[in-house]
Amino acid sequence: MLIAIGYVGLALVSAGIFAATVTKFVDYSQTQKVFSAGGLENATFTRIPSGWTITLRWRFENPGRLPITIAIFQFQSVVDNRSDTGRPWDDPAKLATEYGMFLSFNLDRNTGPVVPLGGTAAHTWTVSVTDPLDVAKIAPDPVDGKFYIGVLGGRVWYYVSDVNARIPGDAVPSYGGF
Amino acid sequence: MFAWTRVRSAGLFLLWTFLAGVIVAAFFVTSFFGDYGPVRLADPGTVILFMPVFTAFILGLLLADYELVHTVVAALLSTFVAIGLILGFMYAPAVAGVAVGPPPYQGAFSSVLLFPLVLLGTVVGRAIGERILPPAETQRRQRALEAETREWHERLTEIEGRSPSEDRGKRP
Repeated sequence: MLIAIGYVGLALVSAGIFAATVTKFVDYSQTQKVFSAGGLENATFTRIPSGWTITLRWRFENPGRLPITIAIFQFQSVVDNRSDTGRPWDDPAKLATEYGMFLSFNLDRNTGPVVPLGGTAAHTWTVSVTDPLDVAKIAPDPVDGKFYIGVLGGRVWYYVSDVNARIPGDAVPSYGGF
Repeated sequence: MFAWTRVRSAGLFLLWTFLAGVIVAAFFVTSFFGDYGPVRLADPGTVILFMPVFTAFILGLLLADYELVHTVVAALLSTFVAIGLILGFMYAPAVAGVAVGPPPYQGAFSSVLLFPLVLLGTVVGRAIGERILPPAETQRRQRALEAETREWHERLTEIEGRSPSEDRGKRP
């Protein structure tokens, strides 16, 4: 009788462990499936005597059911001076005449920004543009006074929860005025 | 009454067998796919080898009332249950509609190798169970045999206690 009770107890504990393991595995997969690298949340252009100081804030999103840690992130963006609105913002010939930025961070699973489940996290870059040629390329839209930035795309490597697997993802192209 | 006893016996057999499958599968999955388990095991290999034998040993103890062939069937069934649950774990994201790639095989099909371990544990457990926890039927037979032996012994003592002349006089 005692053996039977112990056996049932062990089975109940095992069933709990199994259920928790399956749940975490499903959540892990769901978090990857709905992963989004987020997007450029804000951009601030400050005039300095020698040119511009640009501050970009990227907002990571996590609609998944487990927290994620962004280990590595890189993206390419361009400042559209709106001098030629006849062509699309990502026209290659047009991009060649504009000021571009390649921004990134390279951290690890212990130091990267953690995006809580269902939450967001931000990372900020500050860029000083002092080269006269580059400074001349940066200008706000003459009509609304906004600075237009296009994100050409990006790449992200992240960890889901404490699972020891680094997963690659993409940041989608976007365009907007700030 | 007889039918109820058989149903109860079959039910217990299936219950113990199913629970063995659950225990073996849970520890196998937690060891093999350690990243997803609620507990991190220091030595997953030992757990993968030890738990099936231990669980099956207990199963064997619980099946001491059954025939040996039933014990082998229980080992087979519990291994099937364990493999079914392990496959269920592997395909859970696909079933939930959130799979992002193929299931994480990582050699998980080696779970078929659980069968020899489960069989070993079950048979040894039953053998020991029969010794330390003899089944009710065996106990009843033993008691009946003891009573019969005692009766014969008493009769022999009684015969030996009579005088030889008494016996001679009775002869035709």
